[in-house]
Amino acid sequence: MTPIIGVCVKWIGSQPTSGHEADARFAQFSASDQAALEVSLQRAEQQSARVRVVSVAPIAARSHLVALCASGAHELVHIAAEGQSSSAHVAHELAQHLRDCASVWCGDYSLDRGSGSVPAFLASTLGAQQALGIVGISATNNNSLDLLRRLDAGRREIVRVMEPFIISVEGSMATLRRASLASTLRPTANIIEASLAEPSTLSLGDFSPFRPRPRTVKAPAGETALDRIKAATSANSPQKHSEIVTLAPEDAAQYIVERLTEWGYLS
Amino acid sequence: MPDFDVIVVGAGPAGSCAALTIARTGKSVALIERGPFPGSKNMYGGVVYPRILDALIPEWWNEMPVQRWVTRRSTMLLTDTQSLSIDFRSDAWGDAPYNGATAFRPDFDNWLANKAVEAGATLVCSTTVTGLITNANGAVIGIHTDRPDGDLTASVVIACDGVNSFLAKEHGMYPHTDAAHFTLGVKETITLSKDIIDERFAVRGNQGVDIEILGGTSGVNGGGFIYTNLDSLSVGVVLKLPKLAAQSKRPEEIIAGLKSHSAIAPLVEGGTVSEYSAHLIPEAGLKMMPTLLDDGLLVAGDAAAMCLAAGIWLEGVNFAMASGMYAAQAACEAIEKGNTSAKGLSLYKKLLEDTFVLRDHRKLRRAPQLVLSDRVQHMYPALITSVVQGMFHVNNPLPKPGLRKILKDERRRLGIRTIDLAKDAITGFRSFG
Ligand SMILES: Cc1cc2nc3c(=O)[nH]c(=O)nc-3n(C[C@H](O)[C@H](O)[C@H](O)COP(=O)(O)OP(=O)(O)OC[C@H]3O[C@@H](n4cnc5c(N)ncnc54)[C@H](O)[C@@H]3O)c2cc1C
Repeated sequence: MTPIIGVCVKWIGSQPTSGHEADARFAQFSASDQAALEVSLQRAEQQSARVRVVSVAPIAARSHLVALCASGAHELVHIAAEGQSSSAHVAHELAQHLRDCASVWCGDYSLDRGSGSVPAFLASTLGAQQALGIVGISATNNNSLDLLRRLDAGRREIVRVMEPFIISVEGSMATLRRASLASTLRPTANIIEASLAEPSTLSLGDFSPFRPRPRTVKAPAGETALDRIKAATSANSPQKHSEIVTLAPEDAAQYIVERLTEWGYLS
Repeated sequence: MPDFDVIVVGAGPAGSCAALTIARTGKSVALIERGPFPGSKNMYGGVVYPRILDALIPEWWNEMPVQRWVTRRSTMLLTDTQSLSIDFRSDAWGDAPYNGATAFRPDFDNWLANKAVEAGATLVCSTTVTGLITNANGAVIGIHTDRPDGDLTASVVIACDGVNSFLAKEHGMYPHTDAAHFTLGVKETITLSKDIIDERFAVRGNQGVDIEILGGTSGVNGGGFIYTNLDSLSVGVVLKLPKLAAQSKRPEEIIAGLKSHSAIAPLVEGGTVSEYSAHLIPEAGLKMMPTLLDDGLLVAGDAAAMCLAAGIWLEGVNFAMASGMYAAQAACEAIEKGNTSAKGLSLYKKLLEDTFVLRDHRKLRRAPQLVLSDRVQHMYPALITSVVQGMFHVNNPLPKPGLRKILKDERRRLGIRTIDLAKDAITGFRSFG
């Protein structure tokens, strides 16, 4: 059977210059969604696989989705939905069309700066491994990939994922190839139309972002302004600013929780 | 077999009317546009006179995306400290079948292109035509585009790619180009509430105003304009290229100068600039028109310099729509007769000659040069406004001077020779009379 690589993209209709309503003419896909498609197309060429683009998007998005797929995708599943749906619901609907995919590629941000949680819900629904913020592939093995992942402060780490996996890539990873004139004129992607099912009544509870509570900090002591700044920033303190600890993963997690609790971030 | 009967390059007003006309005959037509959607790349001052659409879209006014219907037209003369306006208003222009309307190009062009698509045209956006394909005899048989495998063939190609048409130039249809034939149009869209616009411009509902301005361009030959949209104004200047290049002010500074004039400032006060755009205008009319057709190729709209820029008139969209439609009719006839050579396409020229497109251009052929001349630009506004000031200025205990005396004194003061005045009056009369 021909393997299938899934790609999830989010269509965003943007504001026109003159009017007040979201306008399909100005719609786009994020650079990272486009990168996800390009990476999938490259992998499909290596693996003789088919690429299936899946999107929960309004009817107005159809022509844009078809134009996107003209770059070389073989199938388009357009799950028609107007208005907003929760990330969990969107992921659940996407998953119905991705169960036969060993790998699913997403962009790691959408143009409306959504929560970015759809891939996580998708991974959970499909029971797949997940990696975010991917900027490169460092090694390809049989059923696994070593991925270069961006961390804060310019650092990188390499993560290994085993199929099935859901990957979110950054826009810098690849530039989507231009569709040929022939495929733009005569789109060949097989279009599967679907509609959004009612959200399940199963409640996942209320989610809200974690924001540590403010802490009262004593005014810094010192004769001069410089002394007070030094005190406030702990510039002269012998206190350790960083430490390298080598522990087993479970112990490391426990250590982090203890430190965060000690510093007042967790109660 | 070619890929299409006709390929139309550019989904501006010329291209979409061409594609719509062809699609209606059942022939296959591809409309290729470089922008992500029709109108996305296009700008103009803001008033369209769509009467010609009666032939293509009956009762177009019921569906065309309009900002306001123009019911007031003003012509304004400005010197640094004076202004004189001739103001005309017609209630009839506010009702069907209407006259002119302000409209945004991303709305108008997109609407017109969709009409062509509904009729069966194939619209391909985000695709730039990079050249023409010719056969061994030099006849045009298709286009190259910037997409992979981007060649496309057709029996006829219609170049509607706008001012400074690379396709017409590439094919040698502009034997001589001259920067003096072009003006640069620059425009600010200034957001203001509908109520304020209604009050300042004395209009109601969807009535709108078109103000054409002579002077106010910081000494650079050209003109200005103000058009009312629903909740914004289009304020801009049109500047003769060599004159613009010969001085140091930037176009946006020239607009700022216009906006600060005592006659203009109260109209734009409190508005927010929400958009700035610029575009060339083929200004020289008949004088700069290229060869209009060749074997397998027709050129229409601004690509063929068909914009009419004659002082009180700045009309390009209607000329583009008409020429696009006529080019399409000629292409269809040629295909049906199996002869797409220049001779087979010659109906195009005839249709242009028989209608307003070339008739207006012929009649007004001297107008662009006259309107942009130094005397009309710098001396006559000063002469006319000073004469009017002399008439209305009360200088008691001196008695009122006669009009002839004021005119003579002012003419002398400004150093305008009678012979030049007479020459310009004759040219003006021949053009506009
Ligand atoms: C500042 C300014 C004010 C004006 N004011 C008015 C006014 O108030 N009223 C009026 O009637 N006229 C006005 N005009 C003139 C009017 O805008 C033009 O005459 C008219 O737009 C010409 O239409 P067109 O279809 O020939 O060309 P355009 O409207 O220029 O359309 C050309 C199309 O071709 C596309 N294109 C170009 N090259 C390629 C390529 N290589 N491949 C694919 N696509 C291509 C472009 O993206 C564009 O969509 C004004 C012009 C300017 C600049």
